[in-house]
Amino acid sequence: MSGLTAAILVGALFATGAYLILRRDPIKLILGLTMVSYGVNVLLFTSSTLRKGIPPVIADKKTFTGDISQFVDPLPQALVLTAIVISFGIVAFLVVLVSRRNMLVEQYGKAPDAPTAINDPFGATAHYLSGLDADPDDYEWVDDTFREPAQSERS
Amino acid sequence: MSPLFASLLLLAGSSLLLWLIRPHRFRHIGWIAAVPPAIITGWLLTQLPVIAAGQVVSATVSWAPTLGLELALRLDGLSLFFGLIIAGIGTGVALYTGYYFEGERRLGFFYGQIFLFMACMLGLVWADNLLVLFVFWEGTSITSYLLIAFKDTDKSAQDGGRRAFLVTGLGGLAMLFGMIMLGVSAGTYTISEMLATPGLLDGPSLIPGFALIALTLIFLGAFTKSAQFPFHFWLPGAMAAPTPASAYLHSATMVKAGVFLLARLHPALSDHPYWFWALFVVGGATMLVGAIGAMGHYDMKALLAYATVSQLGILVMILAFGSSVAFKAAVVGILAHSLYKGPLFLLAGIVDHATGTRDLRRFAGLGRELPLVAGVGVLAGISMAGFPPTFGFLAKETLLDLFYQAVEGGMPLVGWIGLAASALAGAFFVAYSMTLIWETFFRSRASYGEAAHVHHAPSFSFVLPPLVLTVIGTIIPFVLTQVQDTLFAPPAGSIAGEPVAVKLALWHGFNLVLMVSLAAIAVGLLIFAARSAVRRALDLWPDNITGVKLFDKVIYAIYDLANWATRQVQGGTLSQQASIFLAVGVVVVVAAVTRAQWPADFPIRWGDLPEFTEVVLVVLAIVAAILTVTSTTRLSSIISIGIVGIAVTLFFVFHSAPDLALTQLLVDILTVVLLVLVFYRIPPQKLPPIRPIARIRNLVVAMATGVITFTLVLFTTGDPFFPPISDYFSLNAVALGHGANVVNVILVDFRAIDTFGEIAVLVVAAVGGYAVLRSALYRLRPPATVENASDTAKEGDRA
Repeated sequence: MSGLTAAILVGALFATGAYLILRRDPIKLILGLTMVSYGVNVLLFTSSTLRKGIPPVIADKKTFTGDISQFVDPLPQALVLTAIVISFGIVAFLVVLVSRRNMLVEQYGKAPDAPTAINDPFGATAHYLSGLDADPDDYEWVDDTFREPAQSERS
Repeated sequence: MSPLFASLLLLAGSSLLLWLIRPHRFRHIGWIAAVPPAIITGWLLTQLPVIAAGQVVSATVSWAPTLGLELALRLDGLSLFFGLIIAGIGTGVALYTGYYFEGERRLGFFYGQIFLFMACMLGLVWADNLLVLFVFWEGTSITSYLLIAFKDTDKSAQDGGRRAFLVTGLGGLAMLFGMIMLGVSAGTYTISEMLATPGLLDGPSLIPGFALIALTLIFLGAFTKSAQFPFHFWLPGAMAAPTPASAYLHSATMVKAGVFLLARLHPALSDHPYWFWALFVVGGATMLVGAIGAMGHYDMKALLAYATVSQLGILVMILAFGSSVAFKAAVVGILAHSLYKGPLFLLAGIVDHATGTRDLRRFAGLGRELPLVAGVGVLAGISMAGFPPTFGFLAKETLLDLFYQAVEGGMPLVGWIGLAASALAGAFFVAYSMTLIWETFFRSRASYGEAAHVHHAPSFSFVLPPLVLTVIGTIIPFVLTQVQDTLFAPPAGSIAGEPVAVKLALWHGFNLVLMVSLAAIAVGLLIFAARSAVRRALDLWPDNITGVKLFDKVIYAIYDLANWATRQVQGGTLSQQASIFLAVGVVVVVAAVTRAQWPADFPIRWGDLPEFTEVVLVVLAIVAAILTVTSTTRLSSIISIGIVGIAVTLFFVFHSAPDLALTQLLVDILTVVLLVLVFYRIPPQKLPPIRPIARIRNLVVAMATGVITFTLVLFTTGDPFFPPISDYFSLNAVALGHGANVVNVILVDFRAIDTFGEIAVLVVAAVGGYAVLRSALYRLRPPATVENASDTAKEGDRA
């Protein structure tokens, strides 16, 4: 393939991926990340010479003479292969995170407030020890799995 | 091994050992702890005649030769002199500490830090390489921080430690730059060679302003470390440290590191006029601020801290001069100060320990209850005041003599100003020394609150260290002729850069200097008599114009700036952050591409005319990608992105990458299945409609990202990817990996560790996903309210 078509493909993948990431729907975010990772993989791949029909597989091990011009550069392929798998891992984790978030939204009606102080990320106004007043023992994890619905929830 | 290295290792080893044996279990551990510094003191004493004869002891271990960094230690007059003070007073402090903490659990921790400090401090004064000196310098800053903030639940200790560390740390960094400038100029970092380099301050190629910048940076380091005005405020704050640390670090040794550095570099740098004026003005201001400020405090340690600031100012001011009187005055001043201020701090600790307070207003007739302590206090106190015939008097005489010589020697203005300022400071020395001793030990009634009484009498071993140090300080003025050639002449010679004859005497006959000295004492007694008025006057100083307040304002301004900047970049929604991130990326790439020098014939590989199948493939991918963006239902979005994945797979198939195609296809199918399974049932979230301006911003950022990557590919396609590496894999796949599929051989053989890392990423993602899902089985129960808690308690009672 010519460089031009590869460039158009990468550009299109990045542009749509970026646009999806910029949307507010978290599912769009996941789709966008998937799209961008496709783009990155193709981008990495294009750093080798794009040629047809000569995969980096040695046809006959016994008669291999060391003529490496008979196939394409294998290194970008190895790198991209790793990248594909890792990006899938990240997407899978994100899917879990987003679905968990949706469960919480269902449970509380809105996303719970993040415990970060966005207006004071460096803690300039609060002493760092003051947070220790909140005793973690005050909270407890309750197993909800087999909880009987309360009387009010049944009706 | 050279005794120099052996000493440092001995102290470092003792530090670890004393920490590990949990020394608070042993009542008289102080005597054991005093042994290592005592050994070093003894060895240094044996070196006195050797060094006085003009020899030096040196030892070198190569560390990082390519950086010009070697662990070079060198014992000459000055480093021996400082070494004796550090190890000698260290012996006393080690003994004292054992009784001061008296069974407290954290004694071992304290011992560990103070011995580590001792090792750093000795390394600092013995270093013969500027970079090594810097490393030890920072070591003392860190141990000082740990010791100040030792009472780690005390807010004032935390604040004091943090301020001290920030001030000395920033100064140290400035100093490092100055040292590098000097090192580049000299072509070596070895101090002894550097001092012999002519034209050290001219810089490598006569850069204008080189001397000014280099000196300023060095001064910043020395002035912050030695608590010079306007950086002096950290030293009183450092008094939150336990008293042994205050006596040792913040009076006798560490705060003199800046003075030491100035003395060490004196032969090479003091010719510059800037040297003289900076040291004279800053040192003089510090002397007056410290001396007057000491009268405004009722805390024994705060008073002593200001007195220390004042004395450090005097030492810096002395080093401005280059006459033999100045070297003499510096050496005498350093030793005298260590021998009276160290004991006075230790006594303050003993009084605190015995009565539970250090507030001068609350003592009444303590001298009757603690006669030995009072006796030592008087001896050290009259030395601090500078009454004849004490060591302090000798130090003051040489100081005044220095200015008198300056008057005679053609600098009348400087000389008279110095004489007047020193006399004023001397008067305050008398006043605060008298105040401290009188109010602590001899006044009959407490002036505020209930009189404090001894409820815990100190043992003799506890009082022994200040007693011995004071006795040494009292004896020295009477044996001057015996010690001046071995003890005082070598360090003075080191500061001068050439041998100096030191002649000292307590009595110089009736001359101007003695008159000034006596006048200062008289004025000092007057100030002492009127001290309550002086204290009231000093109270008038506005509270919000202090070094501490100003410094905190600067620090909080930095916090506010960081908060503001973070809010600008990271506040708001994810899409805002992402668009900033992408926009910055676009700007960086555009800047890099446009600023780069491209060769005229740079090949942009437009390539052959695209084939029909390629065009179909790309059109398919683009249409599917756009559908992903525009489709209104979630299912069609997911299906569209699946089609994009298949297009990418086909792209790999066309371009000789069967393994990639296979992997991509599998991942694509998995992704689609996962997305459909998880999201198909979830109802779409009702989000507010996107604002037109945000939509336009998103479109612009997205298009810019696309265009940039498009151009990037055009520029990079087809350039072989590090051919030598790739060729190695291709050529050796069969021979070394026994595989025909080169990509597979790379993954599982040549770069197997990378693949292992990839697997690790998947495992982490899987574990993380499991943990998140598992947490869905639980829900956070809010803290029990007071009523609930009491209900539960009642139920418990019934049960």
